[in-house]
Amino acid sequence: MAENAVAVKKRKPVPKGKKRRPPLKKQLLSLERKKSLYGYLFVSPLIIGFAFIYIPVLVQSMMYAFSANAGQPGRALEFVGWQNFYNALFVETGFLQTVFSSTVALLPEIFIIIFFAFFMANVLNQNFKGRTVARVIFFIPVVLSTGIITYFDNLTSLTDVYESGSKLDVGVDTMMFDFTQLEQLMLSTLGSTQLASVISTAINSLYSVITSAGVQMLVFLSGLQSISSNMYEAAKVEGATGWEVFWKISFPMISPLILVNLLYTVIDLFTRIDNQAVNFINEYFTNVATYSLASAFSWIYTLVVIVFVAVIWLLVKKLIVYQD
Amino acid sequence: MSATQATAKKVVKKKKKQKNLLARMFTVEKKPKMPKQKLDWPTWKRRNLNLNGLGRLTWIILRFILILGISYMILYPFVVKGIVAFMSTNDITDTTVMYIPREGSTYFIERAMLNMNYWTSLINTALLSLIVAVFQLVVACVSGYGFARFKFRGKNLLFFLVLMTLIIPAQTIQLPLFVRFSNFAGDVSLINTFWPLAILSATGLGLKNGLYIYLMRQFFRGLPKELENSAYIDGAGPLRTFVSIVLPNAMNMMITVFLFSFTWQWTDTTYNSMLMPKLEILSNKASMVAASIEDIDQISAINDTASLLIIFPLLIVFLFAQRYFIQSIERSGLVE
Repeated sequence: MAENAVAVKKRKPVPKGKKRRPPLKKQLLSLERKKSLYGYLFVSPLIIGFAFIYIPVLVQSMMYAFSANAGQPGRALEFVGWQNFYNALFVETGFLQTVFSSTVALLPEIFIIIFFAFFMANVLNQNFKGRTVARVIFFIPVVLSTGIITYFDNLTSLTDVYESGSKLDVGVDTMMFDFTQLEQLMLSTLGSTQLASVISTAINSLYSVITSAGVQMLVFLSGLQSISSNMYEAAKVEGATGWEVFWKISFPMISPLILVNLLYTVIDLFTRIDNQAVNFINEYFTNVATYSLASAFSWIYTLVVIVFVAVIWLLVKKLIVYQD
Repeated sequence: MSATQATAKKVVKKKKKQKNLLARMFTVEKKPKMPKQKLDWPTWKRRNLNLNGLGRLTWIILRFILILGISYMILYPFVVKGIVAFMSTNDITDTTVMYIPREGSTYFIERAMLNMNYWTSLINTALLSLIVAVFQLVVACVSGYGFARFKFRGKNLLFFLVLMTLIIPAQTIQLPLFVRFSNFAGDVSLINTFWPLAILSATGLGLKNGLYIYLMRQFFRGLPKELENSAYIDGAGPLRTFVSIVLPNAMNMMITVFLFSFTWQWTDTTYNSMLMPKLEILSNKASMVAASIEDIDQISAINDTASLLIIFPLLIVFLFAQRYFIQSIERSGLVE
């Protein structure tokens, strides 16, 4: 229709002395360009940061990985090519093993965390008495079990090792529970060692899942709450069941956040301080003599994480519904 | 019925009066109360004692147990730490004392406060966290919107870089960062000041900044476009649309991001030891808190006390802020 109208206009002779309006297409283009300029304006802080700080820093770190004597004051960098990478992959055999084993160990945890967070967000979004209190309690680990607090807890469990037969209340495993009693109880009732140990490890890992699923829960919950109530009302009027409402409204509306959470979980689990591989690399970073090797380690590890993230991105992308 | 409608109208009128963004943020909307129907036993029986109702009742009980159990698991360590903080040195070695301290003292609290230089460190930490959180929030909103709604060349590359800031372990870039800030713009050393972190967070490179950008981007992408389009039609430019239409709708997410940024900076240790080892902030002081103590029981007790002292202000901030970020915030303009 619109094109036809333009075509009709074109055929009419233009009266002299009057300027013709520019064709519609050209106007649109200029608007597009204007919008792209605004795009640059909005991300300009990032551009400045990357250009003047991040990329130079990354290049510097790369140079460390490709040379000897990195991090040693008073000594110039000495270019050694792929030597550090060769050492990292083929000489220091512990590295690849650690990366592999920690990655495999994290795989189930990723999905358990996402599932748990999604489930609990839906529970916390329901109406019940004491909901506010429950929410406050559930989000405490998000705020409080990070950084220096994790450091303290690691310290306490370290002192634990030296101090056998200690009491419960002296900061002993204040973060973890003492499940030995529970395990013994289950042993006596169930009579099977394997079953008891499976259950007790499940309960033990539940705690770590709870503490590391807080952010994801919060993201899901705020996503659930931003769904307009009109939609639910409409569905109710049409006679949809709770199950249908969940799969046809809540799930698609929240689906962009599933990707966010998956990526966050992967990155968080792979780069947190108590990750085995990160620990391994950090040990090499603390020693000046192995700084170059550590740089090579961490670049290889970064590559592994990127590949992992890319695979998950590609797999989950199709599930997502955007409002575009 | 008409009475409730009238009150609803009043509420709407009140809402329109509050043009101020801040005022809107700090008011909690009160819903008009519906008269409660009396529930007698036969109706209750009819409603709940069928297959559907029994299922619901089971779910309610299960939910209760689940929530109670998890809450217990989360709160238990904090309660134990709180108890340990008020114990005396004798209570700690006494094997008969489990949860209730027999003598009780504030010895560990005083000791931890002294060793951390608590009040000075607290103020410094609060200031630093506030600066970082504000910068990170602004950058996350602005660039998140840029990524979500504009097309420009190099957008994907830039976004890839944002993700890279999350993925590359901090240790990799720690030394180069130190070198860069120790002779910044010529040879001005910014080490042991707030500047490095302020600069990093103002340019989207601070702690977990990529996550905040990503969160805001996803949120903006999920917002319906109609609002912005109508603003454009009314003649508002992108900047004005962003400030007066998009941001008010993103209040929920903004408070979440701010809270994350503030609390994580508070407890963060990644950049501190390298970029500002001598500053008096809590996370720097914390690792030294047990330095002069030799008894192993006392060390763990004072560590517990110190971590509780660090957390405590955050807990208060959290208790105040949760109201705004957990409760649903009215989406003015979006929902009729």
